Amino acid sequence: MSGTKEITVRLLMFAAARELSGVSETTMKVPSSCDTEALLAMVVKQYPKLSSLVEQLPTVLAVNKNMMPLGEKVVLKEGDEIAVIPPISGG
Amino acid sequence: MAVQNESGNLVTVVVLSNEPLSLEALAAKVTFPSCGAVATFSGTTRDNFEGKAVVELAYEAYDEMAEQEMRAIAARARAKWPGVKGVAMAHRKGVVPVCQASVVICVSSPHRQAALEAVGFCIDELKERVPIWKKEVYADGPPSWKQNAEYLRAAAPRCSRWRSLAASAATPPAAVAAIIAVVLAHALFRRNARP
Repeated sequence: MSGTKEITVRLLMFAAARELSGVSETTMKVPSSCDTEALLAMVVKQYPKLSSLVEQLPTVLAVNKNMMPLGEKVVLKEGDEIAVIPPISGG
Repeated sequence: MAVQNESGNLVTVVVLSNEPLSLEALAAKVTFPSCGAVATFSGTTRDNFEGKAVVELAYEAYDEMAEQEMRAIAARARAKWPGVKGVAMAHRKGVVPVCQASVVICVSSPHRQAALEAVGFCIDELKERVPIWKKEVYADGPPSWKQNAEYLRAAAPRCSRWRSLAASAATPPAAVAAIIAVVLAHALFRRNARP
């Protein structure tokens, strides 16, 4: 896509996402301008074992430690942090 | 990791730690001469879930975001209950055996109503917003990652796919047809009943 450069972000996975993918922390190349639903789809494409989690449970992304609704447009810069957030269960 | 902030006379303590939590130590951090109330909540590991024997719970956290969210909850509690002086929120990571605390919340205020209400608010908010995950380990069968109902209720609007699923589940085609039938029947009845 012209005008959208590719950058490298940190990718964190927790709980069921971490177990399914086998990854807790890595990096990923993503377009600097996209939306969170597309970002999650890119993560699932790279880690197909996440698909069962994402299909069955409301899984979202946190971008720079903020929970983001799926479909929200984001502008990312080099070194930003995205995290796969399965449904939380603290307390 | 313990973070303590003092702003004027207000004290906020946020703890995320693999070590056992001490209710007494946390309550002491928010006990002040000016406060007549210290209200506390401890969430402890229960030995059963839906008839299954639970051996232990294991917790995992997105550390920095969890601490940030706990601090934000404390700030919101202060905004709702301006009399609150001390807020301590502590969550344990790793394995938490039965009867031990995974979460402790202590709030102090001059009088009891604010402290009691703010503690309830803090645990409700934590269950909805703080990125911590609990794995239930059973005596028999594979362990299971839990999902807080508080989060699921709030999360559906955040997930576009789940929002559309929730909307379609709320009014399945059969229900829509039934509603239309009732409305038409009511309209016909009213027309026929006119003198």
